[in-house]
Amino acid sequence: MILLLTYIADPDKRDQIETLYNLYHRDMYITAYAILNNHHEAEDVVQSAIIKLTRNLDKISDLYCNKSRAYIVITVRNLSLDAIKQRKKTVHFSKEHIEDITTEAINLDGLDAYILKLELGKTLATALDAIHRPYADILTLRYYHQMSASEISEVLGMTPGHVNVSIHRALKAIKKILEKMEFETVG
Amino acid sequence: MTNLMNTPNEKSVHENKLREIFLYNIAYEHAENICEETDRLLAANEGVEIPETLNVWFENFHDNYISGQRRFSRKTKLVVLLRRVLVASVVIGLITVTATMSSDAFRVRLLNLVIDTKERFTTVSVDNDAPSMGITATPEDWETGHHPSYIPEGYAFNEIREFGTMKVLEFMNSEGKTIAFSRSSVDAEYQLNSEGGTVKEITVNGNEGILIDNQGLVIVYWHDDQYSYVVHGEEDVATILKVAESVGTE
Repeated sequence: MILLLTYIADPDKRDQIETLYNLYHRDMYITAYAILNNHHEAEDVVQSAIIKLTRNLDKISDLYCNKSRAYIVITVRNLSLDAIKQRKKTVHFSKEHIEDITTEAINLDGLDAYILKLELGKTLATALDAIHRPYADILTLRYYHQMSASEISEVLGMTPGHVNVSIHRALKAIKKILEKMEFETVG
Repeated sequence: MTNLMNTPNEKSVHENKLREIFLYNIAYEHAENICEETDRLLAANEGVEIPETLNVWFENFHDNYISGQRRFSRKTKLVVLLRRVLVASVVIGLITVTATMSSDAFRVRLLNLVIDTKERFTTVSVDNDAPSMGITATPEDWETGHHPSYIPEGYAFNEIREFGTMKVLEFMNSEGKTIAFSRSSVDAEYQLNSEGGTVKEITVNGNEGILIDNQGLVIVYWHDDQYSYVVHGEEDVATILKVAESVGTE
């Protein structure tokens, strides 16, 4: 009887994986294909993404929403960029470079002055995405999906230290965008 | 009117909350942008076919995942079950030991139960393969009167055997059937096999005893202050009882 009961796996989780694939496999494939322009590599990336997402299913509370869709696309996009890096055999962030950034004094004072400018959200998001898309992705995982640096590092395949540095750089970039917007308004 | 002011800590909490909302808003808009961009991408790549090999891969992956989940679930549940059994065993063991050691009354009852069970539901176990002492005459300490004076017709004395404090007189008829009488000190332990038979409390010459009728084999056990006695044989109950009651009537 005990053995029979143990055969009943978690049906919710099983359904979740099927639903994830049925809902988003086209999104994932097209996203990867648009970046890699190669069917085989796109398929590999989608497979890696599904394996990764299966491991982190607990981070998806509701599959039928833009929040989950964005999370899935970010995961695929990042894996696709990794595939390009591997293709080019180049490393974008060396350890030494990350340590330099970590020790860099980042003064974010003054950001508070803009915190009530909520109507600028869309513009800022678009501008940040245009400057450096990974910053916008990391910011989304941190402040929208409420993930810790360790969780983000798992999703994006980087160290937690690198994640923290990227968050600081993203905040710095937002400040610069805001300063530029204010300058243009005054001008 | 009291002039209340927020502490620096409260101000800091307030600023942090506002900053969180500000950044949450940007992050939310970025997620929305991603979805819009993905929609545009899908529209632009409407003609791109998803390879069938991806679906096949997913089916295999899904099956393997389910099997893995089942294996993991089974293993986890078994480990939990074993742990619970182990903990329960330890707890029961500790409670038994503690109760036995801490309460004289409980200890006496428990030990009496074991002894009583042994006395009531065990059988004489004479190992025929055990080496006989080869005694052919009445032992020196075989007091008069401590053996049966009645033996059914057709039976004749066969041999005397001795096992520690137990002495056995065996009688055999022409068919090879035996009636054995054994006597041992009152504190000796007997193992009586009553499985499948009926057990009845009786008195033999005024002494407490039991009678086991086990599929043709009749066993009578009783004791007095000095000895325990057993008579067993493949005869009817009345005959075996008669042999038993003849002990000490000489």
